[in-house]
Amino acid sequence: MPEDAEANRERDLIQQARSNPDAFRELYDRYCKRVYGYVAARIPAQADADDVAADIFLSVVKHLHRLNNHHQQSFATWVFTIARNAIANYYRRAGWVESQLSLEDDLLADDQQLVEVALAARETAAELRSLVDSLPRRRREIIILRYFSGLRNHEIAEVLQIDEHTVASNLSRGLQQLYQQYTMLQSNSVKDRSSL
Amino acid sequence: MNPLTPDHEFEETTMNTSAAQPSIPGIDPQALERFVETLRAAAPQPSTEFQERLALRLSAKVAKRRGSLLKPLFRTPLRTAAAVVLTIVVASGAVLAVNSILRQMIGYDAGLNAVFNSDEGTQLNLSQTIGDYTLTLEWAYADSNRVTVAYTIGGWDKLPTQFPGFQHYQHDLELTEGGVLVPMTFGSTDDGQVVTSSVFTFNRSGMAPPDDGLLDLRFTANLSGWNVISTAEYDPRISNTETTPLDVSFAIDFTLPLEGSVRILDTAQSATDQNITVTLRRVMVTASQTRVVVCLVPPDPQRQWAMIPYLTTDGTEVPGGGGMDFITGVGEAAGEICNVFAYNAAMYDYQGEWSLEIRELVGFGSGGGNDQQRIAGSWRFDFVVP
Repeated sequence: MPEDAEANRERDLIQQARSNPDAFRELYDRYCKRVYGYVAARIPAQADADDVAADIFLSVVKHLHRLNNHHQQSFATWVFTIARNAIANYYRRAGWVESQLSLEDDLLADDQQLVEVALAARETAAELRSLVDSLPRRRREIIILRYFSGLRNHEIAEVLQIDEHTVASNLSRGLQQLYQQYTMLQSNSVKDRSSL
Repeated sequence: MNPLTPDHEFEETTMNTSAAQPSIPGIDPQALERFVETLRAAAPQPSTEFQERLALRLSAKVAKRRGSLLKPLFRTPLRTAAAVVLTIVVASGAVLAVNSILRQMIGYDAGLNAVFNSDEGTQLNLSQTIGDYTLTLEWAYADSNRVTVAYTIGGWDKLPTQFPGFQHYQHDLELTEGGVLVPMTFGSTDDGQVVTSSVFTFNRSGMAPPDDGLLDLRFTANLSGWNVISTAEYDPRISNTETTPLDVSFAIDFTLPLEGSVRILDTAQSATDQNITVTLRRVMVTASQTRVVVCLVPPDPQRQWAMIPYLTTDGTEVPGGGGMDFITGVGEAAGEICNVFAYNAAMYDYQGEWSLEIRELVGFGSGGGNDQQRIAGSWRFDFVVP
């Protein structure tokens, strides 16, 4: 579907979804995996991720009628802002600090250490998620919003309240870093197999 | 362009996995694109069960919002109201998919009819086929007072010829986490011996709501045929039919959102007439049913006492009455026995005064249906449900 038609369809769905369960279901189907991908990448405990994702969508139902007042904001931006706040509340309530919270944005973790962490994960997806987890906090969140949740740069910028250039540079660096670490991981894996 | 400078902009992409990726110096573009695909595929995924359960829960919330959006209708000018009604009928098309006999049966119950029309029930359409018989659970609804299932059983034309008739002699609805729900009312009809359509209501008052607002349920039905037994002499005390199980046992698991809204009046209003004191103990109003608990100290403890109630709002009798059961755990400390009356009516949004009058007490003895002591009187209670 062309982008304009897609945007129009989504606007219609949002209007109808306030009182029409079928329309809401379609909207939900569009966003469920995207939101869940973001939440579960930030909250490793699956049961907690489920609870937070459910709370996010309940909040969306509750406040959907307000969205009309935010013409400047896309639905995706609105939903992911709710999601981000819900995750922050989760950590606040639990009194926990995310493992990478103390890392400065420009701090690059030791590649070899990241590879070792990732080696412990058996599946490719788990390895990649492990690598993503090890990125500096802001970069990690940008990568997750972009590749796990499918947000565009300007939407990520709005959700995180940073400028688009910061998003772009972090994406570029994050992707490069992930690619190099993943490639190193793969070649180590090949070497390990050939030495057996 | 240096990809590491802020000026480097990634091309805007959506979730479309075929979208082009930016180039990063030193990395083969195709290899990068493959890597990005792998990265996207690594996104954590919700389980199908989680997705479906949450969808159910959210749909129930949206349907409830629709109900609340409809309420102002009656204050709008007639023309506007007509236009909105038309829209609602169109929007409710999926709901009207319940088979016409079931729809008619649901319509006989004012409370169920209201929740059906406001889309607060759940369209299930879950089928199970065993041999020649198919059970289809079409629609269900749950609130704090009751759970109702509407279903069909087809295949009766394949009933072995030795049986002139059939019945589905046992139905149960149980919570998967434990606890069989007590049957309240059952209605069934058929379309000429091929398909039966049934609406079955179970009591769930007094049960705590589940944490996530969803009931995990298992509906079971066992089928049997029946034969007429030849007897030498007619004896009305002896059943002349014999049922034979058909070895067809249906079991369907499903999840149902609970409409958890409930208004409760806990009180101890008493009224005395004929030297007998009657006490109103509790009123529980949900979207589809009102339950009223009334107790009395029995004038003759050897008898089982029932009361004949008349419940009104604004001078009009509340529809859907007639259901009565004995309830324990309420007035024993005061030496009372208690009746609970069920009114299948949509009174949840009613904010005015209620009036309950008990007009007669009936004490049943052990000598059968005619062994009754009847005491006429008037025990009246005026109240408001918060």
